[in-house]
Amino acid sequence: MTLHISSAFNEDLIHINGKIVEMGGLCEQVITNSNLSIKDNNVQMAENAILLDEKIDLLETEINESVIKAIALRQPVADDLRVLFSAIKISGAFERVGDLCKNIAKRSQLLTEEHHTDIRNQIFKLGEKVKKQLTKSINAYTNQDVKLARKVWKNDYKIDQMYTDLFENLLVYLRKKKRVASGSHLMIIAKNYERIGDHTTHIGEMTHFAITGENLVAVRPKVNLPV
Amino acid sequence: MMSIKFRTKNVEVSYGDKKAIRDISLNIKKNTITALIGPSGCGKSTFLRCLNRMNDVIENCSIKGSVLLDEQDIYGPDIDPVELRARVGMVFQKANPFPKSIFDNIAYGPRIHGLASSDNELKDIVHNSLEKAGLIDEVKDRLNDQATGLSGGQQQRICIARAIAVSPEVILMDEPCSALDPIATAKIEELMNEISETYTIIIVTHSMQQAARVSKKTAFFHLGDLIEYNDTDKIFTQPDNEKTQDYITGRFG
Repeated sequence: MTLHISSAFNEDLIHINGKIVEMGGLCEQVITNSNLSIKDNNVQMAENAILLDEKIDLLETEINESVIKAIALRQPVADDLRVLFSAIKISGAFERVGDLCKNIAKRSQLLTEEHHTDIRNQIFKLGEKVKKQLTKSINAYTNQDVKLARKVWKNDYKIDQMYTDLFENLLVYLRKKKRVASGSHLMIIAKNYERIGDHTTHIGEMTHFAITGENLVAVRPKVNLPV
Repeated sequence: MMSIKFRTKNVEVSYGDKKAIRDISLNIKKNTITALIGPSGCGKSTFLRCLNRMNDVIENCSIKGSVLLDEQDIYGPDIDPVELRARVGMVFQKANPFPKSIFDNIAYGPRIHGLASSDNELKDIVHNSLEKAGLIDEVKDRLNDQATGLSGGQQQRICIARAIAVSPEVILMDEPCSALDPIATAKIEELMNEISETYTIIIVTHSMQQAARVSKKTAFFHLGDLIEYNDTDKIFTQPDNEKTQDYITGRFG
């Protein structure tokens, strides 16, 4: 891509892109921590997730400020405008990923009963699936890979299917165990992962838009969610 | 479907041996604002001047191809350039009111074209033109004052009113706001928007934002070629041509 005549604008765009990539890296870390906090009931991992979320929030604020400044000073058009618009949308999605992971980590610490092991493992598998999808969405953005961005957008139904199956299992499990409090936490944790999947879809959409200028509007495979 | 006001086919303009524009084929829609953009020397003003034969007065200037106004060749033998310029008015970069009163500036065109049969009719034309140009409230009590004593923005609106006074079909604007402050610029843009239902407006501008704000269609010129012509929304969000993208985003000038 040809550089802008204004070197300051080039630097602004590079800076914003760097912050998005950094935010994506932190999101991969935070979901790794929240996944392990579920799997092993690991306190340290849960605390890490909570701390990482604060860093992610700060980055979102920083990106928003940089984008607002660039829009005000440069009055961008075409691909520059799309890139800056997508930066706000993607950093917003990352911020939500951070929040949901923090919430998962906090709730994981309220699940102390060992007999949740089997259901925790199922949630962990969902978490790992979502993490892979998140990594793909970050790679699509970092490598400006339109094909991968489209793939991420299209594949959310796989996460939704896992979540739907897990939800059914949870219902059976909770009817048997009759544990309302921990059951509610498990339900919300599973739902949080499903929502993170939605955010990765949005990151794929926005990456696709930033590169091509086209919104992904075609019908994609869907699963009827229980809630 | 909007009808075509100007249809240019393979227009080529040379100044002596030097070709300024090549092979320009463009359909300009009626009662629409069309912006011509591109770096200095790209040929956009040359093209604009072809549309009312202002290039005729430039020595060594030769034109090939055809320019059709309502499907009639304006370079045809039956066309009187003076009459043509009444149909296709022009507003220039620098406001150029005549060193006359405000009234006489506006009345000048209608007088030489015999558009008013009485003094009252002439007064009506002047009043209506100033009203359309959004100037009437500012100047109605001083129509006998010198137009050159007005502010730059007001002088430019006097020039627009002067162009409107002869009931043109098209108004060509060659960087009409480049010497104006942002408030005066906003007033001209608002005026363009208001009168675009009645007139076909073609504007040359160096301001990308102005082109994006005021026009429905945009043509991008580069080194004498028409690179891209499309809806303004499309040009400024998703241009088809990489040169257009590079220009509007400030990657070359």
